[in-house]
Amino acid sequence: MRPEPLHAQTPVRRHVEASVHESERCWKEDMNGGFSTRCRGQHLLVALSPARSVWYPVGTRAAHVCRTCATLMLTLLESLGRIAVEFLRKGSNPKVYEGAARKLEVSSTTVQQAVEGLTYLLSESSKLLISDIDFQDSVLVLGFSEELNKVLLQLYLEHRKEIRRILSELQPNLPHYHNLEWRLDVQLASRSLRHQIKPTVTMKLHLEENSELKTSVLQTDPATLIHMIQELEQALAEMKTNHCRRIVRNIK
Amino acid sequence: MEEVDRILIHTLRTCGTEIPEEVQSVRHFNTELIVEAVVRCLRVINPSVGANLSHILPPGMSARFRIGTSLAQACQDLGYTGEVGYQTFLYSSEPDIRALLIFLAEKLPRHSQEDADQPAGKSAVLQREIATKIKQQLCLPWLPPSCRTAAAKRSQSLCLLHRFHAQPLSLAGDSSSKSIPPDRKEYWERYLPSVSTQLPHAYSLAASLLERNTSDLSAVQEWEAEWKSQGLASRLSPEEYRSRKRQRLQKRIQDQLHKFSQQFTENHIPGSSTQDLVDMLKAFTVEGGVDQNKGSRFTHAQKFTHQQDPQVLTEQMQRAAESLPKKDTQDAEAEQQELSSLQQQIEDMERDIQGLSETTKQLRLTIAQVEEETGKLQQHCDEKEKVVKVKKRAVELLPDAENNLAKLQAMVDGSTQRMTNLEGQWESHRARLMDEYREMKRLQQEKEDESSRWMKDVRDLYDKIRAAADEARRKEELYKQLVSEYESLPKDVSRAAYTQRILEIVSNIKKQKEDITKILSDTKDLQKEINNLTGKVDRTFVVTDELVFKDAKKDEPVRKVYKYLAALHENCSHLIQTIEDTGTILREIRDLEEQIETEAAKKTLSNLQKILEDYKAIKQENALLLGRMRQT
Amino acid sequence: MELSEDSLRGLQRLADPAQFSPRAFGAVLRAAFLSLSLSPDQAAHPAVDDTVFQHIPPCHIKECQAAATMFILEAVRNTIDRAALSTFLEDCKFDKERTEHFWTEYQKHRESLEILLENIGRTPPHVSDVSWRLAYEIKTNQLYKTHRPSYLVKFNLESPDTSQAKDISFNCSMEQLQDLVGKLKDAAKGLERTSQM
Repeated sequence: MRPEPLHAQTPVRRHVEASVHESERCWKEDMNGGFSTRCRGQHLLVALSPARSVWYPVGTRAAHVCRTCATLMLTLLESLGRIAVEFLRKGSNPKVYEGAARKLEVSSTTVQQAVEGLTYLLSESSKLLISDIDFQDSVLVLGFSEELNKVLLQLYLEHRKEIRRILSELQPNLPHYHNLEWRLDVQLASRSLRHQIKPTVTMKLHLEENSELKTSVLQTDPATLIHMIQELEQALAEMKTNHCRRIVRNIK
Repeated sequence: MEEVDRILIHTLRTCGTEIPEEVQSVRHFNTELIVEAVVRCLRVINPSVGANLSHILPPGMSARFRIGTSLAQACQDLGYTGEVGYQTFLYSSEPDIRALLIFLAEKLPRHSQEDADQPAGKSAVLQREIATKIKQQLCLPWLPPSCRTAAAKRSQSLCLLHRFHAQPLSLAGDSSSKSIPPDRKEYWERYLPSVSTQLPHAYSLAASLLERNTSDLSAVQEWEAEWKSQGLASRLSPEEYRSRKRQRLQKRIQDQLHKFSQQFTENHIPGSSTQDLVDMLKAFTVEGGVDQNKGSRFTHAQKFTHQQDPQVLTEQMQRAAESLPKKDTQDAEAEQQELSSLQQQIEDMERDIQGLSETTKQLRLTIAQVEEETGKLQQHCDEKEKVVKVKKRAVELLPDAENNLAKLQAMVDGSTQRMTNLEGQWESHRARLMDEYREMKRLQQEKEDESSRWMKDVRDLYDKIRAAADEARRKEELYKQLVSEYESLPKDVSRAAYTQRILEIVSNIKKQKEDITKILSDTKDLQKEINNLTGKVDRTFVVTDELVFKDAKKDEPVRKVYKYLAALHENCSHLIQTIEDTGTILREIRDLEEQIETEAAKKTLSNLQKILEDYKAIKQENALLLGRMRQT
Repeated sequence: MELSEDSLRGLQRLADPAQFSPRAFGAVLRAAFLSLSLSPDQAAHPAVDDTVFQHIPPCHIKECQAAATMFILEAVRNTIDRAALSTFLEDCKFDKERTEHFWTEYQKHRESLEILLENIGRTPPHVSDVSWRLAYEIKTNQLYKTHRPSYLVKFNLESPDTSQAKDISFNCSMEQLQDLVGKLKDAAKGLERTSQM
């Protein structure tokens, strides 16, 4: 981790810095590993792209925007929050902005900026999984009223899990196990040998990559099947060994 | 009961229970033996249940109790409807144990019977083979791909797998056959590589050979089918049929080609390709023509020269080969020069030969033309000569015209007469010949009928032959299967033992039945006698009573006699009553005795004693445990 | 089992003691078996100038070798037993000695021939081994503090067709791996059940 920059005064900022740094590193690693980094949910990419494109400045801009929010009526923050969560779920929708703008009697761009700012706040805090206190500290800097801060915290806690789930879909995608079907075959005769008994297990392996299913048909013999089961069970058991447990404990 | 017990003991022995020789009936079974027998039976009936049970009775009382309960539970799970609990095993009574063992034994043979039924049918055999194969492969250890032996590779690897890739092979045919041209024979003799070297590896060789065999066989089959369906009906010999078919095909191909080439030339400007086609067509027709008039002198000559050619060539080659080694000292350049000059010469000569042969051909053509012309002229000449002769004769006869006319007339008359004569003769001849012809025709018809009948017979025979062959093959297979089945059948003697025992039982039962019928008839006889006697006594009594009663009215002592008689009668009936009562009491006694025996068989007393002892043991154990608990 | 006429004729010729001496017979038979062996031997085809074959026209040798090879292949293909083999050879006029000779040679090479014929065909790629790697996922650029195990499983494949023989590797979470192992165990159980029928 790089030393803390001077201008990083808030936890959010610090995390933003760290995330940029971290993501660059991950990106490079992924490229070296030859991994595909295409995002799975296309709409999500669109949704988050404004936030991403203005990574650095947004820290300040979000604060500004949120301050604009503060000038809005407090009771309407919740509806804005709802719109922000919707935004994360489904992507931006100008019509909603206009509707909200008409209600709030402000320009639709203001609403849009406010929503984007909220979106950024929520997604970034969820990504870092910051605690309640950290969140409150971060929001405190924005200079909102106590009540507003509470509503924001409520919003964060309510939707953190879902946002994390959505974000987890964005990670670099490798072929992923989806399903396995099997069938027991016994070859009894062939063109060149009329009497034979050759038991095989034919398997259809479904792999998922970029939300596309890819299947491959494989086969194996009984002895190898037993061996495979033993190996993979060993792999599962490895997670329960003391060594692994210690590592897991220490990491947390 | 003894028979039943013997069979039971035999069955129990076959499923692994060690029953000592001296135990002859279920009555002698002790608790250990009962538990062992039941556990063994359960193991055979349901291995998964039996595996959890020990066939040796443990010393501890509570463990014993537990075993008894689980055994009872297992028996109930199997569907035993009778009363069963731990007491059945630990404090046994003979009839209960017998009923239970019979139930288990009944479950047993059905199970092994299923085993015996299995070999029946091909699919069962196959299933068993598959099962054994899978078991065998499951037991094989897995080996990393790089250190697999051949046997492991066979089941665990694919690296040897090849596609079925059949390629055409060139094989030597029957070289002693006359119809093979000598060139081909020579090719077989000298140049044909052996089969094994024709293909790169054994896989393609195997595939190609198998494919070749199959295709040869199927070709023969196809021909046979065609011959039987169409060939026989055409009444040609196979060779004729084949050549006829070939001609037909050729003609069809020719027609088709003609048609299309015409269409093509109509539609397009004839290019080089169509020209080729037309050329080919021409060649084709020429070839066909040559084939059809085999006898022409020209083709014979051609064949002859062709046949001679190789021999001449080989002779020349040999001579050249002989002369070659002598030359090797000479200068290579000179040789080269000489070779090229010789080449030149050969080419010149070839050109000359070609020119000459062309001129020869032309000359031959002209000769033919000239010959034809000569023939025509000769014919012309002959005709003219004939005319001249007739005219000359007429001129000679002219002076004596009258006479000659008359003579001519006479001649004409004579010839007309002769003509009518001849006509009559012809008529008679004709009628005879006509008859003969008709007769012949009839005969021919008959023969034809007969031959078609023969044909039908032959076809029937063909069918029969094929059916018989099929049948034979089927039977053979059945035989083979039955033999293998027979061999795989378990060769145990239990069947014989069973039958013998059953036969013994049947004969015993027969004997018993006879005895019973004898006793029954005896009883019936006795009953009848008794009835007779009672009837007689009654009648006698009535008669006597009447007689005495009549006299008793008159006579005093007779009255006494009557009294006595009545008393006698009464006493007698009393007596009979008593005897009958004695009989029923005796019967009752026998019944009671039997009951006592069955009760005694239940070993109530000893069982009670045992229970008491066990109770004490349990108490002791409990005390012990309590003590230990306190200690700890 | 059936053979084409050509092969039958070749076998009959091979059976004729007047044409093939016992030594020549043995040589042809050996050549036929060797030509089908998996390790190609130089002596796979009989040399025509061999003294054994002095008085036999080479085309007969070729014919007989082809016929013998074909017969051997058909015999293995149909898993022929001794009785059937004997009757077939008797029909081709083999005497007892030659039939016996044939049978002993056949027994010697039978297994390798079966392997040869068994290995002609096609199947899907064969899994020959499996390897795995356990990783602990800590964070991604999108998500921090993920903290979950992640397995990378690789199936090593064998295939006669080298274009298909690429190994398959895929990621799976612990639950997914458990699912996979469960399904494979199902398959193994199925095998066991079949083996007990």
